[in-house]
Amino acid sequence: MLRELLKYDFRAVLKYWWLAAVSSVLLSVVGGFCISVFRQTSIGEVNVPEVIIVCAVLLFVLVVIGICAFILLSEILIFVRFYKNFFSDEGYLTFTLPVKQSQLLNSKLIMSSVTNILTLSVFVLDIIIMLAISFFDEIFTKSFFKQVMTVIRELIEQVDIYVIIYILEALALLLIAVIFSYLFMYACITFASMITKKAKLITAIGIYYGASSVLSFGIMIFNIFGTSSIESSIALLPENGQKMIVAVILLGIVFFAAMLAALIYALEYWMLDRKLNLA
Amino acid sequence: MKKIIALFITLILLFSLTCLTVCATETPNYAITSDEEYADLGSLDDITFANDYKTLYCGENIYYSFQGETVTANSYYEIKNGVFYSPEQKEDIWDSSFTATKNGSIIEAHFEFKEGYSMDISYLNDKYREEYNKILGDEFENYAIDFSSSSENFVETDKEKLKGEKTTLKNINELLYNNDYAVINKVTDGSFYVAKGQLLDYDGEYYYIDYSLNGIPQNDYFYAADHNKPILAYRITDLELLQQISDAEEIYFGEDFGFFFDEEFTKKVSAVFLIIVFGMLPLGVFILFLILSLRAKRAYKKLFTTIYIIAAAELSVFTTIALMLIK
Repeated sequence: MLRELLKYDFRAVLKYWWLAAVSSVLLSVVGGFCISVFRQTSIGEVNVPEVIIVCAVLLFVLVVIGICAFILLSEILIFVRFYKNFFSDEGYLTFTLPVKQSQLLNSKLIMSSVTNILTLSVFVLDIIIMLAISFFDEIFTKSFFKQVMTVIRELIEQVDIYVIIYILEALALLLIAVIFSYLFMYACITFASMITKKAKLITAIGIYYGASSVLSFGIMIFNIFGTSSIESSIALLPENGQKMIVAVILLGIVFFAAMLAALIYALEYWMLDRKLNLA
Repeated sequence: MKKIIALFITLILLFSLTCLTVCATETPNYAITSDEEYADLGSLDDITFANDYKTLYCGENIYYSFQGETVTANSYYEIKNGVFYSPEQKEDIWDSSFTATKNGSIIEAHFEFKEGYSMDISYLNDKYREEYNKILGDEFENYAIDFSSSSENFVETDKEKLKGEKTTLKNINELLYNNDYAVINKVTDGSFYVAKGQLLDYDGEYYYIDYSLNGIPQNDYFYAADHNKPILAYRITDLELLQQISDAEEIYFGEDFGFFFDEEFTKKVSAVFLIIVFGMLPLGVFILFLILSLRAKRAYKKLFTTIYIIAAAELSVFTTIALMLIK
């Protein structure tokens, strides 16, 4: 049943998402040409008319706004899908489906995480396209490829078991952070739906900003106070010992983040299961 | 669909307004508002150069090029003076920019040439030549210890008073996480100086790391991480100087809410913080959800079990870290 839920969730979100993704790719092509104009102007080899420069600047501003709008739109689509599917009239149908509550929530989480990864991939593609077009004469040359291969070879030589562990831990942390951020927003939307019948979305946004301010404050306090002791203790260890303890510390942070994500998942599950009243 | 579009447009507008507001407040104001923002070269005449760029003229002041990296100046300011180039120089130069110390003792020039290369030249006002040679040659009797933070705070001392009991400092990379202050030889008006060493406050004692004693180039900053070997230093024993240093440190800490910069205090606070966040919190979560899972029904039982297992894993990793660091 989870597969069916995912199918409908992805269908609802990607229906508009792919249009925005294609638009952002096309905009990145335009952006690449704009950057080429700026390059030609700064090098001074070609005399570019001022009109062209002004047009390029205006177009580039639109390109940046367009790409930011694409990222924003993909986030909005995810949250609108969650809200409509659970808290609007559609919610009556959703909660009468023969599926577990956890499957409903998991489907939303998987959909949002995958859409997030796809959005990030399109964004990276946009940057690559812009750079490829604007630095066309420098990138597609033998010497550039040789430099890239040299850098890759040097990086591979420096890779040891600890680097691989750090990368895996960083990826795990990133995934947990993405899931946590969506669960956090879902919890705010659910809580807003619990406490108010009207203007649920505005209330949800208000709760989100309030709660994330408190969270940011906590993170700031942690950054100020949480690292001095560890840093000076690690500095006294031999080099191999330092690498091992950094790997263990990162693992601790991964488990801590997973615990927080699990707590907020439990909260969201409980709110959907026990406290939601769509009447 | 209409609601989505309306919400989308609202968010774009809010986002743009926020960006504009942030950019407007962040953009530095380049308009001339006050003379305090500019260096005073003693004359508003245009700057001119010799053909080889080794000499700079401004009114009655003559500046000669010198090795600017041998000295340090605290701040550089933009200059109000115009620049006049000869016809030959105009053919070569594409762009140039200048900054100077507040009283115009040093001018930093950056030239960009039409042929594509650039050049940075430091010029010293000829009136400061004698003092410059004296601070390089260590001919002044007094050094100054720099305790400046938000305001100027120096301790002037006879350089011999710094050389108390000769000692060797080991684990220098750990020691220099404590407070260290530059010991400088500055010109009379304080516009530039040469750093001769560092004063280290460690474990209730003050040590003077003399650069010349350790073969470190003067005016270099001594980066502890680059030095694993023991360092020769002097433990300061002069009582009058120790009192002056203690008074200056009080002012230094007082300006910056002192205890935040006391390394021992920060270490203890951060250790307590880590125990609470990575120790007490997972322990509390573990106990709570263990009890809840024993009493819960099927769906919640699995969820609570997952949570207390993750909390237990976090607790065991934290305990491992603590044991590794203690050992």
